Amino acid sequence: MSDKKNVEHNHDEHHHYHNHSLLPEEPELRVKAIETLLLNKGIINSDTVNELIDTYENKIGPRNGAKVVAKAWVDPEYKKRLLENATKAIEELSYTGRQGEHMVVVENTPKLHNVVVCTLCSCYPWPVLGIPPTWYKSDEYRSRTVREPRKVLQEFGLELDLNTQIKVWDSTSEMRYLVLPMRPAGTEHLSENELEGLVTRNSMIGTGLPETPK
Amino acid sequence: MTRIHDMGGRFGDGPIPLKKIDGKVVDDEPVFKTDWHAKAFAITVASASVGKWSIDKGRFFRESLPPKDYAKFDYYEKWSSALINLLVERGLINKNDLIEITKKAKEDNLQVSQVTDEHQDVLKAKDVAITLGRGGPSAREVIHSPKFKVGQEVRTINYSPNKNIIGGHTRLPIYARGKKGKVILHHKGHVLPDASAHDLGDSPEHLYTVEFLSTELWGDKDGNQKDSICIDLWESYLI
Repeated sequence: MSDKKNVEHNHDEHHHYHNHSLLPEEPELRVKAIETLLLNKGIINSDTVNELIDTYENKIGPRNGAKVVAKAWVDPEYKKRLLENATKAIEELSYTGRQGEHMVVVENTPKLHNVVVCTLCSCYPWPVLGIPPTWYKSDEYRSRTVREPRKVLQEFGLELDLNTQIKVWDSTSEMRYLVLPMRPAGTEHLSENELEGLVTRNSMIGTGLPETPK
Repeated sequence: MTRIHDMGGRFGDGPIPLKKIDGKVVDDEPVFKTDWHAKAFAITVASASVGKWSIDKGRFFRESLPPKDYAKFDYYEKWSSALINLLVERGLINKNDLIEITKKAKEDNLQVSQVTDEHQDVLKAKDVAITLGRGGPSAREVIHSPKFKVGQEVRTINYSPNKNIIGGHTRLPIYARGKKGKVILHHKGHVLPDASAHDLGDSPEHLYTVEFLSTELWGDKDGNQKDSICIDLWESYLI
């Protein structure tokens, strides 16, 4: 351990974490200043910025995950592949890449309920769920879900029976977790497409259940 | 010791900030709540192709924001502030640039000039889909065989596992240090964040998911005695 570098006492390195204070304090103006600087330095270009925003606003989002779930509900072979190697099975639907490079799907049963959190930051499976909602990234969700999941789920309107075991998945690595919710009762007559419409974002994080047919 | 971001199990945070109508959760939040959120997100993702920092280094810069800033900053304020700190550390931006741009911002005089010499690694709009679709897999070959097997009981070390940097990045949350659990998944070799966050290479290790009973982590509690928390942990975090 003699070669340990002491970050806290290395003056230069320490100040790397404070340079932001040289920028305008108001967040909108701060971001505009950084964007202008990066554009003028040729580090980013504005078409790319627009393309990235458009991608996550319109192309990559929780409807992708809903397709995965609905397919698993109607196709037992697909479900098997999904639970065995989620990354590969999800790739069959062309959902791959950034923040979903290594996927694990965890299945809810009448005795087991899964819920996903990232206590250390905001890890979330982008290719199937898109950008996480504000509550997922909040201190409240990050701090409380591992200690008192039942109270947290109650706030989402989800009252779980004491006989149901809860498994909380804290996403500390690059493995990304997607919950496979139970197919709602009374949906035997529905098509894959109709089922997809019942799959909510929260049901794939474990903070909700799929909708029931109207 | 740990840092401000390591908040699992902390008390005092209050209700989850949910939108509710008649007591029912309504999930209709736009992807980006404001234009500057969208911009902060996109400029961070776009800059990484030039800055070439690992995802772990990006995380380390966010969690290394002064605790007072971390606590009060909105999510995308953390992103944009950490981004500028990374760019300065990489030498792509200097302090004078920051002072000058701030002066212009305060004069309401932020102007984008015609750029003739884009950085050679700049991310182009036409490459966005393929770059995102490829991502940055963290799986790596590890030569030695895994130390632990699925089903095996393990214990986490009870100090910060970063072997190279005091106060350095790690992914063993403080709430799970010195605790007993069971290996339930083995993910083979993955980049070790403790090294990658500090430009010390991939140093891949076997990665496991370890399941801890909530009674082990928190003592006696209400709920099902089988309730558990599953955490992904690298081999050097475990004994």
